[in-house]
Amino acid sequence: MQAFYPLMQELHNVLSRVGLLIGVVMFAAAFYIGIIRHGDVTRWFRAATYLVVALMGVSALTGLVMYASGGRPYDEVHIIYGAGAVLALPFFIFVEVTAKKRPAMGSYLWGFALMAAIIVRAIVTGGA
Amino acid sequence: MSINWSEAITLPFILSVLTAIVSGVFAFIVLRRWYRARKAGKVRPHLLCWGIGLALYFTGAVSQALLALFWSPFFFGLWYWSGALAVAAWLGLGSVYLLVRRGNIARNFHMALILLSVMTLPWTLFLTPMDASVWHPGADIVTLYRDIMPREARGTVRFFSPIMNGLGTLGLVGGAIYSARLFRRKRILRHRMIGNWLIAAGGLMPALGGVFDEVGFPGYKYISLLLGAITIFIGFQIATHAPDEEAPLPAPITSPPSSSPA
Repeated sequence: MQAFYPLMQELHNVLSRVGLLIGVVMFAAAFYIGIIRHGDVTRWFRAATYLVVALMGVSALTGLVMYASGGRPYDEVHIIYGAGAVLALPFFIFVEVTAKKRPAMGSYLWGFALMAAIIVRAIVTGGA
Repeated sequence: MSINWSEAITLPFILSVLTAIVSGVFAFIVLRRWYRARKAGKVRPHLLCWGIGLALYFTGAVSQALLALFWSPFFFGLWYWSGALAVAAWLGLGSVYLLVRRGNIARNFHMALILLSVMTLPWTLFLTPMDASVWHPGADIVTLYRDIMPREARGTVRFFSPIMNGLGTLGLVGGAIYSARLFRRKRILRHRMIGNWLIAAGGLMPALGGVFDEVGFPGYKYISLLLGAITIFIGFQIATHAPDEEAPLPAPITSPPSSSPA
């Protein structure tokens, strides 16, 4: 397991930064579709959101593997932020897919904004 | 664990026990009402949020009473999390649900609050350093907490206190002002206006107790906690008075179908 540790660390770092970048891009897309065009969530947008959730899940998994092999973040609070980054989108996906009032793009504005803020804090508290 | 009862039974302890009993009974009544409405097929999320708010009020009061008897980092964490972070936010969300029918704003607030609550609870309980040496039997925990927890808010769970309380206060006071304005304009939903004002006053009373403590009237803060729970419940009873509860909200506060993405 120790041999894979540097690889896991690298993967964890890259995934968090990619997640942050995609989160910001998705927020911008949600703003354009929802606020400027007053449009609703498209199939492609929802699929991309699921992909971001999967990305966050993989990032959390690599973090858990590192924790299990004895690695520790710079600050223990990193674990809280990590869990928050994984949970942020599913809560708002739930609101959007069950929304009776349409359009419901606002949920993704909330979701991606919160996720991006949490990832920033996770990055700050994680790197030793 | 040995408890020195003669030192522990103080006025703050007795008032905390009273607050716990009162808020516990009120939380049960509100949550039972939400459950019965749900079983009858009615959607009443504001009842659920107020019920959760009162249940958190109860949790804070119980923890406060126990902390007068013995030291426990778990109950201290629970006291801080429920009292300083969660109560006002959940009560405020109830008011938002009752008054803001536009788009999915209230539901999005709800999810953000669940996320913040889920994140801050383990943080407060397990990752917050606490200095137990300042505690003593019969301790006035409302004053002592500043010495028990790290004073620095940056990077600690205390950072979330102004955010969650600020949002909660905005919901409570904003809801009260909004319903008052609505009543003045339309002469409708008088019960809802009075109820919201009382819930706002009750939700802010614990914070007001802290202010009185700062300016040299420490005795007021425990009474304010008890009065807060009673005021919230009276507000709830008035706001959900049967004619208003069944009445639909007027058209101006409901959005047109495609005006908002929220």
